[in-house]
Amino acid sequence: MSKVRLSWYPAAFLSEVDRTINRRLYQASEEYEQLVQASFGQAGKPKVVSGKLKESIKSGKVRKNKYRVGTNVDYSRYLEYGTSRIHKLPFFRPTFYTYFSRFKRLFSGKF
Amino acid sequence: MHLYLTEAIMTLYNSDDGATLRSMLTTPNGMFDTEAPNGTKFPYITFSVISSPTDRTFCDNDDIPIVQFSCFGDTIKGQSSKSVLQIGTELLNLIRNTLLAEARGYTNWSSILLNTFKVKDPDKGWMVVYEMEYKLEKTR
Repeated sequence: MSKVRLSWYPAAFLSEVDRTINRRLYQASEEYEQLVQASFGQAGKPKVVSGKLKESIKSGKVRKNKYRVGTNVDYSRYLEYGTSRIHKLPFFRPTFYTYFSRFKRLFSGKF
Repeated sequence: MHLYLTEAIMTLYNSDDGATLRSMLTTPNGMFDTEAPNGTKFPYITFSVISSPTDRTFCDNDDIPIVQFSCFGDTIKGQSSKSVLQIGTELLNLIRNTLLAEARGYTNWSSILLNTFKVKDPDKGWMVVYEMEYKLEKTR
């Protein structure tokens, strides 16, 4: 009776999973950045006056398997959430929620 | 759009269930749709639908609006006053438990608190934001 030998290389497998997750996170963050920028000027979104806010929206890797899309412009939070005197023009959250399925699909493909 | 939801929130606020919350706000009409009139004194609450992502729905009969509730309150020595957080807690109790029983034409609903945070208002106040997602299922 012949013997069958099965070998399992978890390190190689996990490394491939990590690479795939990282690639898709990168893709999602890049897409999100572009979608937020493209939303400026649309109904209910901020208008482009100087372009400072729009240009400041960037995506980047924070650490392993963690990406962030954001801005360092102070007044962005006032536009996003509104204040007692400023009517809100949310541009970050609605874009995410609107394209949620699209982001989800990025992670539902085969590894 | 989302008139049913606006109506439901206001109906709930003005009902007996909302009595505690009303008593905590400066004026009985302390909750406003989208924005408060000029000159409204702290504390007060505004709410508005910020997103209704139709592509997230499972079928045409479902609706998943996301609502931002903002509680505006005073500052005491640069810190948010206790009252604005108490108001926020009371608001959450109200909207999470009974809100959409008032919504017309929906058989099932559920709510999820997506996010909550405190933002310093440039007008010498504090704002506590609650972001709620409602999943509504229409009568079939």
